[in-house]
Amino acid sequence: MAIPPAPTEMPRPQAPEVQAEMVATRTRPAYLHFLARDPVALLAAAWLVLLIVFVVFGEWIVGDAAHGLNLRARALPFGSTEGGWINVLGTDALGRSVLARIIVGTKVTLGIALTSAVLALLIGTLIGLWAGFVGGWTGRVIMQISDVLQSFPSILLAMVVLYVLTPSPVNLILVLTVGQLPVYIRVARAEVLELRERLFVDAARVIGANSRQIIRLHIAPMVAPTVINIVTIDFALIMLSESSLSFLGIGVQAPTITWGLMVSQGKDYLDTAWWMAFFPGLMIMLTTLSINLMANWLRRVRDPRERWRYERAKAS
Amino acid sequence: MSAPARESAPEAARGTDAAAPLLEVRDLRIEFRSPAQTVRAVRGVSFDVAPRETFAIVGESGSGKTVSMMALMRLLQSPPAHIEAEALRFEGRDLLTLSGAEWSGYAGDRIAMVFQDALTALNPVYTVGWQIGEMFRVHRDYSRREVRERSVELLRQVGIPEPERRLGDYPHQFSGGMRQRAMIAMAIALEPTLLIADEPTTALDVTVQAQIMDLLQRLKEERDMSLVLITHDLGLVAETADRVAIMYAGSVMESGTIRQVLGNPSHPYTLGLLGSRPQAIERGHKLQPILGSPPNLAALPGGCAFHPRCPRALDRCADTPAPIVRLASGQDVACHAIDEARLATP
Amino acid sequence: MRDYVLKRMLQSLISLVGLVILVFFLVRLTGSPADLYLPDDASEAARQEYIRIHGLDRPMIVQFGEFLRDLAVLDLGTSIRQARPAVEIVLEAYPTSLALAGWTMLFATTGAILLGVWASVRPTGVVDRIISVLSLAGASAPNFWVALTLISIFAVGFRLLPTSGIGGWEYWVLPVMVLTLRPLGLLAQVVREAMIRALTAPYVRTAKAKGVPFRSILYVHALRNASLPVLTMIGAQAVGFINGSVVIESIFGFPGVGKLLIDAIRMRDFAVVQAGVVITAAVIFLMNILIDLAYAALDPRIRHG
Repeated sequence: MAIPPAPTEMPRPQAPEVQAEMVATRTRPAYLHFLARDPVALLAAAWLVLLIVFVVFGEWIVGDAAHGLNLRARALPFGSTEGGWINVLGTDALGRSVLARIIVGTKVTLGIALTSAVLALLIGTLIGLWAGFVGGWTGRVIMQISDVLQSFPSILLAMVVLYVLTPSPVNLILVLTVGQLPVYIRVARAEVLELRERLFVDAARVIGANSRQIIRLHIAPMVAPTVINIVTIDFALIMLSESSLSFLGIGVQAPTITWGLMVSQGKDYLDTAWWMAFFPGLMIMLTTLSINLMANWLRRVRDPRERWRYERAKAS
Repeated sequence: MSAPARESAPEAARGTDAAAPLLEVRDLRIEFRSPAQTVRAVRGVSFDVAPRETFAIVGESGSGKTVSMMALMRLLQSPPAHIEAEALRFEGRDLLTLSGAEWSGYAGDRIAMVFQDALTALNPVYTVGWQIGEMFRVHRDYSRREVRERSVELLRQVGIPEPERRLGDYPHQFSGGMRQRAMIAMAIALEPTLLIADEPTTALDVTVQAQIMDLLQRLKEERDMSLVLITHDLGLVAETADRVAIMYAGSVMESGTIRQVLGNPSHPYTLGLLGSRPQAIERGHKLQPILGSPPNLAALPGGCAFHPRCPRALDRCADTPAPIVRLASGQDVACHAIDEARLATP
Repeated sequence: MRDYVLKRMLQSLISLVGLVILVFFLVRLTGSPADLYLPDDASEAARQEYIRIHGLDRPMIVQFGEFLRDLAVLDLGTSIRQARPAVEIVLEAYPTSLALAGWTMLFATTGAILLGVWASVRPTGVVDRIISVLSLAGASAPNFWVALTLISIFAVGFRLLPTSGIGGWEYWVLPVMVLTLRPLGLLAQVVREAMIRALTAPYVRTAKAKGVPFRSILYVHALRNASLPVLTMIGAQAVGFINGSVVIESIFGFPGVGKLLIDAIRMRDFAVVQAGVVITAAVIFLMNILIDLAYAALDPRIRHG
């Protein structure tokens, strides 16, 4: 059965020509809205806010209880109210409140991790961008060195280095930063290699932009989201590393307080005063967990498909 | 069809065969509900498929043609899908009331489905032979040797050369046309009475398209099978279909035998489809697309869904659903304008 | 495919060489062993004699040259502490660590598959959310803290298990449990995500239309396709495992390579540190090859592409 030829004169419709239905999603994500919808992420965010409060006000509020020796209150158990509510998590061998020390220790623990994370991000990304852009043998050699660094167990690396240099916070940050560089180098370089071939880079060159400008204006903005994704999880990893090193005795040294160090100080008292090691470690876990949860949540919220669904919901 | 009064299903939608229809679809309604919106993908569709007939469902994407058949095969996630129908009967049994266990006796065994892109529709990590054999392993109790022999025979029947060797090949090692043949072989393995083919040729070259259509036709005849062809290409089904239903925005616009619909295309949408094909235009004349844009299934206009783009739209098309009109040539059309025209001429 | 594997092997080899060089110089930077092994009041002459005997006074370059020469015959030096070839000492400790790694990865992978598949069946459902948070928690917990807590409960509190040392199976329970936690958490998430992606693939729809039972769709059709990213993650866990085993073996007094290395670094035993790192790198190198082969076995497209 053959198809009949079309009628040569189709009557024109009265219909509107175009039905515009484009929903532009170049909007900023409504972070607070998404946060409110997700109870787990909300809890994680609240926890992190609490930690920030500890960082800012901790020393001021509970500084005495954290540093002051009080041999009369030695090794008070978990749940005791002797000496006030501050000792509710127990006290350590020198009578200092575990809770207070945890609060005060927030600053250094988070501070070291944050510093290392940001440094690793900046330095690593720059190296990676440069390696990708310059290409050729230089680029490959940098990648090779980065690979070697990555395949070296970071704790061993840290141990070796920290035995050479004294274990001060600065050296600790140095070691932690260097250990995390490879990830950023690899990612930044990969992005550059892919973007370098794109047309807009050639276009920029044609109008006379030099390499530095191209990197800054065109490539860096595209690399940024990926790298930011990484730094959130990286921060958690660095926290775990620092606490491991402090636990092993080559990280932060007393009297500076970090949670990892507190666990180390408590490990000899497992049978008599278990709370000394338990609560600081719990802090590490809860904080790392919160950071990871927030990182996952951020990733989901920034996914354009989630945002599109939200926009449609708002419009209808 | 969306009719105001409930009429019994029109004659043309019934099979020409006097015997009971193989598949009966009555007032099928499918919605996708989410907090944001409700998408009405299928809005009261009815048709029959007779035994040993080729039934074509033609429409653009979004017309609801694929969704209706996916609902039948229980391939829709529900929620968010909501499926309702006055009846959905296969060989007399109401499919909607079957339990999961009962349905697994139908899927693949009595009703089979072939999909659009065989490269993604076949599992890339298992050999074609393994995937065909799976039909037997799931539904029958044959020995390994028998499964292998039957699989080879199936590949041979669909026209794949060197079938014994190709049993051990993976999907990516086949060409597009061969892959589609393999998928068809898999579908007919258990001798189903109904084969649903969803855009079986869309991903293929034009020359291969014709071969696949021939194959489907031949298999249908050899095996006493009914074929439901889902496609957007009216030209494709001109040679092979017995009856056709033209769908737009979840409703059937026109339906009847191929001869009726193509011999005397009546619904403005059908005319638009036919007229917009490049092949239909003579040299020197302009292309005639259907003006306007595809409908938003979450916010359909009242009345006839096609009216914003219809050259013959009347005022009442905007708020009253179109009545189903039986034309003199025999097919059914859902259109106010045609209804009006018919009433005007005594 | 063959080219790909060869290229990867070459890259790993270069990494290995780079690692060896890094180790050589790094280890010698941690200070002279003479300061450590000799008593504080040893005379300068004794110190010099010690240095001379162990060849520590020659220029770095010469020492490096000798190092390379010895490396070629797989002689990685003699342990200063035990006066035995370092390679021997390291290889002695290896089976323990390998067994630890084996059991850990076995439990972690099995558990991850079970949890990940279960979570993927109904994404964002209750089960999924619980499993997601729990696996994230497992991956977030500092291993030394988990170790101490478990020791508190089981060894000290209930006296069910020993606190340290090696012996029968009861000595392995806690170390394996602690080490399993992190890979389990990470792998469960990878399995979940890969399964969700696999379950939305068209071939799953085809399988449903064929009437394949759901269990089969999960474990036969989807899981096989989901296994590649999981394998990648398992490979990436190797270095992480070493980090973990260093700490855990120390806590539990487990005579594996981790504990050996930590002690060697503290004691400035160059040879053992060198040997340990080099052999470990070689083991990882082999493991990566095995993983590449596993890729090819699982996905025929890689085999033929």
